[in-house]
Amino acid sequence: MDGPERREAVPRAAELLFQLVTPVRERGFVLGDLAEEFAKMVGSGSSPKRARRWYWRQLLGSLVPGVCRLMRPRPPGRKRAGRLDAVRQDLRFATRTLVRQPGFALVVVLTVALGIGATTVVFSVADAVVLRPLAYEEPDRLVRLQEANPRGDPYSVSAPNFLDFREQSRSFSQLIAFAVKGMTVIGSGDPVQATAMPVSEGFFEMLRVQPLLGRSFAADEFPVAAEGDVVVLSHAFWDTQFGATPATLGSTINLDGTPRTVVGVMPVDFRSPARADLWVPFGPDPGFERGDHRLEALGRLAPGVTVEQAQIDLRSISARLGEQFPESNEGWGIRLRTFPEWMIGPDVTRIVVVLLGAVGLLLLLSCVSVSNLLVARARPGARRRSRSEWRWGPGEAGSSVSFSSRVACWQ
Amino acid sequence: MSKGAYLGEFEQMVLLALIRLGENAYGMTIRQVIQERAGRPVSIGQVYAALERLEGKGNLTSRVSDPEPIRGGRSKKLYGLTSEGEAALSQALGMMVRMADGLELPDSGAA
Repeated sequence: MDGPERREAVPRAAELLFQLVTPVRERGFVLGDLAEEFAKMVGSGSSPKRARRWYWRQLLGSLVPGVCRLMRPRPPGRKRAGRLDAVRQDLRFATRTLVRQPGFALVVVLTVALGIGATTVVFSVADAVVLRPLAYEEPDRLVRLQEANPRGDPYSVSAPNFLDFREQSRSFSQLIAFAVKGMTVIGSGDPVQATAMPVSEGFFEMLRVQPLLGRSFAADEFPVAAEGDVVVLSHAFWDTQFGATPATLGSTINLDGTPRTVVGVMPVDFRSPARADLWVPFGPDPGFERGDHRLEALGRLAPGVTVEQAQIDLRSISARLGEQFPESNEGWGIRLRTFPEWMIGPDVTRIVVVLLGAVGLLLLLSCVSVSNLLVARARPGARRRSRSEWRWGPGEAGSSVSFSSRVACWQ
Repeated sequence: MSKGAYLGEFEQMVLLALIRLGENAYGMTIRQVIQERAGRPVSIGQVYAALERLEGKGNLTSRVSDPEPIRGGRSKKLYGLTSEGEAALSQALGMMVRMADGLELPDSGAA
């Protein structure tokens, strides 16, 4: 087994790296020389470990000269080996020219970074401010209903008025009321304070969302003038308080001293119109004081009904209520706003859209500027003319322009 | 003398190794000769980089040998000195000799 012919394992990784830093035209000779010397070392009694160490040292010592040779221009008249080699050559050229002209590379990188950075920032703002709050199906068909006092100031809705609106109006597929309040939750661990959202029948149906686990509330779980004994949890609350264990579903937790059964968990991306950790069903109290405005009301317009038609419909109901209950309702009106108007406001939407357009143009301009720089550099004679400005490198080939731009972008 | 005719220290060592090796001058043997005689570690990459540079200056020529007469035998890239290379080497070595001429230098310790 001993002798120069023995092919002890040459370190494969080192051999691969050698291939990368050795020009194709010499690769076979270099690797052959190394393999020969490696075999001689092993054959002459050196341990394979020592021989492999020597091989790795050879690689380390060859890295710098190898890379320098790869960066050097191709000797004239030498033809390319193939498509892959051509790609490699272009990449090498692009890297070399950008490294040799740090000023140019810096300008390209800064120009592209400015465009991408500005676009990313503005889109993030638009996403957070405009897109995410309206992550409902047909958000412009969702409306917020408020009552307005005789001076026109907006108010929440009183429970009896809400029930009358819901009963008499034909403009909505769903019209719901909700409240927001703090509740003490006792589950598997210590009591925690949670933001609860009692909602009337049709809340989840109106938003057209389904729970991730379990179900939403059934029609018979909305008692009159009281809260039901079931609860739906938000994904975040389920995760932090119950460890996101599926066994939470069907378990009983204590809300403000009342045991309630967990029947559902909402998806992680569900955004409630008001921030909430959990939702409980409730039925508005028809006997509540009509002048006590405590509920928020939301609705989804019925198919074919416009916001203006719904407003007319609700105003006529409000007028009737004013006649019926003059002490509490005389002179009161209604205010209807779509979700985009309510959550974002028309001014903000307009500003964000303008900003998005502006940064889109900025990105386009930065790309055009970089293209111009690269084309100017690649044009014959550009170096001589532009040296005083940018110290351009020699334009070697048109195809290298795109590579330079890609390499610049990677930086 | 043109700029390309000047030889660096390592290039001089490569050309001297070529002369010493004669017909058997290729990457590995050149590396071994330099390492043994100069007593400094040399990588194969350094050797091939210098060979390419010297070939570009016209100081040496290369040819690919026939495959070794064994199964799977490989070809080697053999190098030889050109007349320009000889002249450049003579010039470089002569310059050093002239520079050192008449000086009493401390013993280098070389064998």
